[in-house]
Amino acid sequence: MSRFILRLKICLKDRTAGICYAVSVIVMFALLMGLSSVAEERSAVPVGLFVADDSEEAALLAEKIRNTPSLYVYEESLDDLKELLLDGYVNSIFIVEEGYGDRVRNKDVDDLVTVISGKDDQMSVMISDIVAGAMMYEICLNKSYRLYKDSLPTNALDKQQYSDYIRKLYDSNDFAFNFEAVYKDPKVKKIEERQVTNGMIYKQMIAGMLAMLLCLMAFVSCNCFCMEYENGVAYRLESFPGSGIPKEIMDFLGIFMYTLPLSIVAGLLFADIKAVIASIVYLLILCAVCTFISKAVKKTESYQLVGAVLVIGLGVLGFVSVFSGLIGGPEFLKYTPNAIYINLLV
Amino acid sequence: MFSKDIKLIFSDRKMLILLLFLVLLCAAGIFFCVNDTDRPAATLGIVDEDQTKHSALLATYFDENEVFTSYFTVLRGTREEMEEKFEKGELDIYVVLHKGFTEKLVGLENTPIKTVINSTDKTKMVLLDNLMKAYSDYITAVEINCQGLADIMRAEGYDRATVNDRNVTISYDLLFTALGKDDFFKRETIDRFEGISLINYYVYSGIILLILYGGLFAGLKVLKEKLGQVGVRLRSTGVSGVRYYGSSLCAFMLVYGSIMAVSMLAVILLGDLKVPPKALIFIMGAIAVSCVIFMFISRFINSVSGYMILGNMLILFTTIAGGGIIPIMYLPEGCAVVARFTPTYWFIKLILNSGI
Repeated sequence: MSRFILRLKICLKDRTAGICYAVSVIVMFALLMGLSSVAEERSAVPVGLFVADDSEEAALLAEKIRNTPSLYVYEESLDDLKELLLDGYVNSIFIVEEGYGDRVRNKDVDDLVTVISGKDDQMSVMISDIVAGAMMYEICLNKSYRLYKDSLPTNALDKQQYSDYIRKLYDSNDFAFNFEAVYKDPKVKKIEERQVTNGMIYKQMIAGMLAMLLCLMAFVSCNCFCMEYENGVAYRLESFPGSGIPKEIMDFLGIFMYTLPLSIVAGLLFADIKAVIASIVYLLILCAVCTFISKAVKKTESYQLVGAVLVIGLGVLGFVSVFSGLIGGPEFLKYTPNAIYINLLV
Repeated sequence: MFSKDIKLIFSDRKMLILLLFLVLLCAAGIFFCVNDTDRPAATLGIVDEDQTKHSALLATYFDENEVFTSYFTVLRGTREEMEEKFEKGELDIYVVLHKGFTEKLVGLENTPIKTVINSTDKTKMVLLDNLMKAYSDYITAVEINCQGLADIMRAEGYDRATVNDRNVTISYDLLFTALGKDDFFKRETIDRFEGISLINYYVYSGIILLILYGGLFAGLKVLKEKLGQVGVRLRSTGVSGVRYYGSSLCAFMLVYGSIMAVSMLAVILLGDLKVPPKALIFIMGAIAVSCVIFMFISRFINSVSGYMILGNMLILFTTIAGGGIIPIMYLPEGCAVVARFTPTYWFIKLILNSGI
């Protein structure tokens, strides 16, 4: 136990390190909390919208696009929107072309909206499908009205009356077509109870950042072992009574205790006891691994090098794992440490 | 002085072997990840129990939709077959067009289509949910207009046969319109503006991380020399501070620049990554700036542990705020302002605008 307290004292005695630890952690948590608070809003895909037509139909389409939850709409001049696209702030630009209203009324539906995007950008194709959903109502309304007007002898309703009736149906919940979606995990036969939102992807990214933060803290905290080897203190500490392995365990537990508050706060960011436990367990494992590496490497520079690759490697693999299902990434990514941590948190 | 610095860096052989091993490991990892993305990402099952012209038409939406076909393999079969495949984890989603679907669609009853989505992969689940919602907008528009026309015709006294006839005509026309939705859009691309795949995005972000860590490492060397009074001793022999730091900077730039150049060459030759000449110049500049910043920070800190905590956290902060983890477009607007002061932002922008 004395070794455990000694290790904790050594960690806490370095005031410069303590101040750096506190400042860094506060700044990082402020950033992560900021990201967490806008997860739902900012997980929508940012697009530019420019309406070049002043018809009622074009205004209706613009309103629908603005109200689509999966899109975050920027409306500025075309030049400004192009600038945003080139700067990487929007994925694509949708231009509702001049004459949109007239052409929808005349059932001419080709090239109604121009989409500007980067070369080979698949995401803009997906967004077009969402925008098409917003366009469909007006297009279908005009087509059905034209059939009513042109092919029936008694067509008592004018366009406004016809539209009003269709709108009444649209607004009534009875006719809102929906998929009866069930989200099920075939491995454990469990049905997902939570509401599925775009924010889930954003939260996975935040969990990935927390995993990287925990990894970094475990890694930098264990650097003290290398420094002790370099200045000879480690050999003097070996003269303390007690056998090797319990001493090593006490050393590692001392480091774990030093970094423990960070894991608790990390878990609390997700306001879930499961997240707190997952963070503590993950930090415990990382501290054990980093203690082992630092005692094996013994030199600060080498340890920094191995640690940097460990942190970057685990971090990148964790983030890629979030999207590996979509990009056909290797199966093993799901079983990397950060990926498991992300999966436990979200 | 410069050659002495180079010698000092190369004096630790074990360290160099370790460095070489880690560089090769990174290159192999990137090569493996970039090249193992050809297989279909996901599988979608369709059960057409209705077996009508309309249901067949709707099912083709999945076969012919560019989004689905670029990411998913589409399978067709009976409900039992799809359930079995789903339980085995071979399907990510299956959609059931139930018996009587067409009859209900053209204006008699509103019954939802059953879809079962695999929840193991959260990202895929969210994406599928979004696609299904967009799809439901199409069906809602078709269904409401079919229903509306039928209601109005009945109210105006048309007989059942005429109502049914117009209903079939309009539903078929509207379904075709929904399926041909790609024609609504005229696509334009900006030639010099490139879309980056997700894996490559993280690889580019990883390159900047390595550059920043290079700087951190240079700062660590300088800090340790400072703690060992090397600078003081050199000054007593007439070596100025500017010469001492300048020489260290040049040595680190040469060594890191060479390592980065070899790694980039390996990745470009072995993988799918494209790096324009401008980006290579940027990388060299970024190595210099990163080394200068970290060497500067190391002047004000006297604790190796403190320096490592601060340096590592600064790197993580820079990477997050620069859009290295969550792409810049999804970051809050405040972060987007900070991003302009980070190398990650400028590097990704340079790649996006290079038109490679």
